[in-house]
Amino acid sequence: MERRHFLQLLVSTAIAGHSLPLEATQQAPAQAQSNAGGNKPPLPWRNWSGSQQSVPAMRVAPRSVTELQELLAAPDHRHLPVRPVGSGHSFSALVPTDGMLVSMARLSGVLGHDDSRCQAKVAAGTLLGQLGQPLDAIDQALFNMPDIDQQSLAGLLATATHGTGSKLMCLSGYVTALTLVSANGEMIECSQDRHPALFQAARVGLGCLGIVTDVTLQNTRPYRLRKTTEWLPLEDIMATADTLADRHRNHEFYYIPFSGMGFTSTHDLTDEPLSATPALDQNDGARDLQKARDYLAWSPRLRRLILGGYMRTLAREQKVAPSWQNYTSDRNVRFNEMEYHLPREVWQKALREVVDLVENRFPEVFFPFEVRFVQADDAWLSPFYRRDSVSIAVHRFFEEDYQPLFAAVEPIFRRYGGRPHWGKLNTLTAAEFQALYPKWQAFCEVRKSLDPNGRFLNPYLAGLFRDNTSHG
Amino acid sequence: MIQHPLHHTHARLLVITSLALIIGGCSPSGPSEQAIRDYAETARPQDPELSGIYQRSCMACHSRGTSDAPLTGDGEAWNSRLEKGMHRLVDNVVAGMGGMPPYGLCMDCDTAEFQALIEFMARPAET
Repeated sequence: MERRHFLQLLVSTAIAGHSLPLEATQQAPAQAQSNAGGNKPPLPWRNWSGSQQSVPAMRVAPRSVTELQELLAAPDHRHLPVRPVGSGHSFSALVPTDGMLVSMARLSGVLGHDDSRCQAKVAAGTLLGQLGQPLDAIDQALFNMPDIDQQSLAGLLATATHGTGSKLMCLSGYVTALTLVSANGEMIECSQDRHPALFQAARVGLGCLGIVTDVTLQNTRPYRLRKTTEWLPLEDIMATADTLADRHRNHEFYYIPFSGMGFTSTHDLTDEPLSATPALDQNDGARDLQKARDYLAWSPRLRRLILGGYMRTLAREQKVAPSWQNYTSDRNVRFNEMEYHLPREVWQKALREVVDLVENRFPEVFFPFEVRFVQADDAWLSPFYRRDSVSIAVHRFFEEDYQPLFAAVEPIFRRYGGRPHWGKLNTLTAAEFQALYPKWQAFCEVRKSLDPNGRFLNPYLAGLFRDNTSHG
Repeated sequence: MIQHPLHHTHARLLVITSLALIIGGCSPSGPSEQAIRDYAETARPQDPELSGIYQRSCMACHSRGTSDAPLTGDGEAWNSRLEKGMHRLVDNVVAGMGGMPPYGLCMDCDTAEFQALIEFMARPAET
């Protein structure tokens, strides 16, 4: 019997005579109007989870930097607000606009490299998943990667997207130079030596300084990783987490709510031959947890007994693969997410409060909590600015109302000094961000000098940076 | 699988359909799974513009079947989707579905291009 089917058998046995599933609060997925076969009014844009949407007046994907400059400078378009879009994986309101939506997807690939410095210049529209192989071909590899690879390079840098590793920065920390096109179509290159203030701002720029066209990354030589996944009681995981985070190249863990169990995932450098043990499909796993929630939420004790008992039967998994094939996995079950980055000294207290809160008040939650370690950097709006951090993420299935859970969890994260992931849901105001970011004002000044009329601000960003400059 | 009363009808239909196929002597006559995989790896739209969009936006998943994506050329997998109607499929692309991001990663495509891409991917593999 497959291990996954064992869980299903346990749940179905437990619910004999109690077959009514929990009534989940469901939102009907928004239907997009396709206009197929009709006229061509603007198509709606929405993000991956459906939490953000808008109807842009124009959607463009320039074929060259020159075409981008012309689009931004064209008199016919000068009245339109502009927002860049990557893959639509941000949950926060960074993208929605009724103006011009700019995708850099046609500008992708490795544009050049410096072998002696192990640096590569990469077009901003390159998807992370399309970068591993070309970098490998020039004897380079990214230092680290997040757990999905569908994001565009510009999108993930703009939001300080990160992987895990207590000695590894978020990807913005490895940017050594970048080029952007400003609101009036001017092309500007920046680095530590050239326009240094702009460089510090633009490494995590939220897409509100200009449209980034290329990025130079500090890379490392290709490496092979052994990934080990192991199921353990939460108490054991937390007791060793800080030690393991410092001992392994990458270390993270997931806690499965209402189970008392979670799994750790560690990566270590290795020369071992490529190999893989059978692995659970995480998407199937999420669906099974949803079913367990549906049928067992009426009895937290039984739910814990069954989920925890099942997870204790799961064997350790190992996979040896090139780095770029061993960080990421598919995420086919959609969700909304809140993630805060907390000082390393306090993350354990915060996580315990979150677990207690959820297991006492939110029986409908079934998605795992994810905990990752990230090294400090010095990009002005990086949530890791001069602070080694631990990231804690909570999720809700995309068809279910995320607001009650996130509203209850966010005060815990904030009380412990957390800074939210820029691409994930939060309710912070400009004043609250300013209190968390020592260089907030410096960023505002750079932004204002580059885009005094706020062409790159949508309503959300105008609320953060300057209410009276929004184009909408 | 966990059984829910609503599933029983579906299960019964599945059994009846399977029996009908067996009794009727039907057997899969299309290309083999491997032939479809080989086709999906190499197939490209003839139109250069469409081919560019396909390679940029669709191929990563639809040529390898990752993220639960139906393979290009897997007529059987696509037929069940096409039965929903082209407008519904285009809606799914615009809104995103499963692991597929909104617009299927083609942020500047219009409905005609989405439709042409779906038609290309749904065309049974030429083997």
